[in-house]
Amino acid sequence: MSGSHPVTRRHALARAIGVGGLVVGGSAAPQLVDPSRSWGAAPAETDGQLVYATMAVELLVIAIYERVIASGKLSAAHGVLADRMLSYERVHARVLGSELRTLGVAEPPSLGHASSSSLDAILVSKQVPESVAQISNESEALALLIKIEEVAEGAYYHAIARLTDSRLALRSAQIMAAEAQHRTILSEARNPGHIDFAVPVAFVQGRG
Amino acid sequence: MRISRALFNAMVAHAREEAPNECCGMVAARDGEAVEVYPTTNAAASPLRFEIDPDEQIRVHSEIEAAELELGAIYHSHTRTEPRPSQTDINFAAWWPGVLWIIVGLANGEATVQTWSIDNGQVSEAQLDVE
Repeated sequence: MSGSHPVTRRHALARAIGVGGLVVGGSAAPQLVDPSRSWGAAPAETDGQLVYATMAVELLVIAIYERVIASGKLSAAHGVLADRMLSYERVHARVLGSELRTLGVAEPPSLGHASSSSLDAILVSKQVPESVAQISNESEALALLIKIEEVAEGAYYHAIARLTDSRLALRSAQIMAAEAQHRTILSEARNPGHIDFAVPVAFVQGRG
Repeated sequence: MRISRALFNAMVAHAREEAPNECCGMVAARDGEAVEVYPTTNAAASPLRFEIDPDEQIRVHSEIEAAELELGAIYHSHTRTEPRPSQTDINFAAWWPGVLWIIVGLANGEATVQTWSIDNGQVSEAQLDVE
């Protein structure tokens, strides 16, 4: 290979190892570009899109909590627990809503009035097999809440890696930590006495 | 909700300080009695709307939790109109179920305070007893 095509060589190297910034364009005007934008990769999501997506998941979480609580399948103690967690999910949604308005992005629509079948369709799209329409006992109710918390973790995990505004990334990390705490408590509630089921994982990644 | 004269005056003073922009803040309560008023920054810095700064929302929420209180009310001001919930307020209230809305009106120079319950888009005036 000739030494007169440094850009091409670097392209090839980066392509081979899949990392690093690239220099493209003419030699007179090289530009650094994000490699994720090259070679047909999905375009980078904007901060607004990422926050919108996490808020949409929060609204799903809120809707699921509301339906689970309304199902009457939770014991009194676990009902109180779910009420408290729901109140925290609403705080998350309010904060994300404020962030979105600051970014000039409209909020995603509430799912408060969505049908159970619509919610189930969304759950399927998130790889959650549990159904909000068919909660027959407390174990199923808690399993659904655990899964939806994992979905929330996954949404923030996705966002944190991509947000360009470090303040928004910190916000997402704060909320992701809260969702992970919720999942741990719910796991213990579903498996009382089996604390090993509720031991937090070393690295939270979530579902989705 | 019951509120002391001092806390009530703190909200009105905040509204006057921020005018012509709207002010906003949160009221912590216990058993239907206001215990603390938390003035917050209107991130929108606007005479027409308010946006509670997200960082301050989190901070105040944490303080209310730590004090084992509950969020009893949100307050804000209307510097140009009557202290009745606007459609924007009604839409915004969907995110704060079970919370009262205290609005300080400054339209005519005099402070007029009214309190509202906004539940599923339904607005009704609520009692705020200043003691």
